[in-house]
Amino acid sequence: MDEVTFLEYLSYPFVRNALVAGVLISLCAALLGVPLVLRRLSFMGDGLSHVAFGAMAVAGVLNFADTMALSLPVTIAAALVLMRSGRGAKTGGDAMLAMLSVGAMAAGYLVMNLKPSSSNVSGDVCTTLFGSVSILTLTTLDMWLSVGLSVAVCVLWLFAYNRVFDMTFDESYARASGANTTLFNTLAAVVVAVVIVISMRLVGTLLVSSLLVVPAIAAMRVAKSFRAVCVVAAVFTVVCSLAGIMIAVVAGTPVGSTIVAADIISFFFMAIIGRFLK
Amino acid sequence: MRLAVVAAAAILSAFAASAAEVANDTNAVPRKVEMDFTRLSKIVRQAQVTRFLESPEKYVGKIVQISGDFYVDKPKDGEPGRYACALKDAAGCCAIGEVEFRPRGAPKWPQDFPDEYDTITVNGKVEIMRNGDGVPCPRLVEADIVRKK
Repeated sequence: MDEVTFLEYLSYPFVRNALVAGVLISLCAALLGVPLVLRRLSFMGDGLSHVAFGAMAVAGVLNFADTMALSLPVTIAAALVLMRSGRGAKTGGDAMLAMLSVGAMAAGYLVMNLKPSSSNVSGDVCTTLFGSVSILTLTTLDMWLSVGLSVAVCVLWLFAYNRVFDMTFDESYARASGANTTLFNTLAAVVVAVVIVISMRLVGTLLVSSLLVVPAIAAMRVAKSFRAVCVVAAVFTVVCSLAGIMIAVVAGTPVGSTIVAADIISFFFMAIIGRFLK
Repeated sequence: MRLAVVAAAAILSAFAASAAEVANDTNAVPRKVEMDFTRLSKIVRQAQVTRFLESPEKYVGKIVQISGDFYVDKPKDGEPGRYACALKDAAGCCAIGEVEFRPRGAPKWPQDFPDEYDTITVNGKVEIMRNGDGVPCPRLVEADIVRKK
């Protein structure tokens, strides 16, 4: 049987859509990941993705046409609860994150088994958790929604760059200089939730934190300024996502895992380069 | 020299076997397959098959080739049998759907068919049918089963 070349795969609209959406999603995740890593909030992505999984499961059981209609508001609400819990609430931020995270995962899987929306519950769960083919099965609406949200996050990030910088390194100074830090933190929580939900379509629930974290820490190996780290993280994630999707399409490997593997391998290259640059 | 002779013999016997597949398979009449899902990588195949099952109207009239497990409701009491190919996901563990097919000609059950649950490759022209819930599903008509001896 003659093998299909990558150029032939590009003739399929859903492959082209996956490349465009995948690159944009990982770009906005990488940009968001830099301040998250620096503020030591790396696990927030993981926790919120588990909440989104639970919401998606319920949306599937309730036969929502698009599961994002439920998963997005629920994840945003969870992000706002987590933000509030870090500020003198009865349950501390990390404990609240753990509780929401595992509770939502358990509830989601329970609901999927009690009222399955397809005959292949295990396959559906695997696909959702690891993003094996999700990015290739986007509907046109899904694709435009993902692209639109990704572009909006990137544009917002560019416009708010200075504030992002201030809040990342010295929130007290930002507050003292008149910035509305509560509003900024609320907006940041909403943006993180949006990025998590759309990123799950690319790499799945369990691997989404890699899109946030790995580009940032790889960039920090070679770049020293905040601006340089952001630029390097953006380039890093675009290259790795493109490579990951292309390899997965041709080799038939799960898309999410292939992208994360490309990220990890590239991280080690960046670490080696970083040693030489010192 | 001996190696070249052995290699040539192997190539010739492979061609002969291939010709025998077509000659002995009463269903296999060569025709141009417009959408061959069997050539695709596993994940692209799963994505393409998912779209085929969800939006079969986009494939009506096209010659499509698929591969999967052979299922049959055996013919009885003068009623014709119902033949289907169950399509699996990328991991190969679970079925993501079933496509009914109507063989070309008048093949007789069971001598002209593979064993049930065998992996088969079948191509045919797509038409729409409605399942018990009224949902449109693809069906292959004038179908050929391509199988190895």
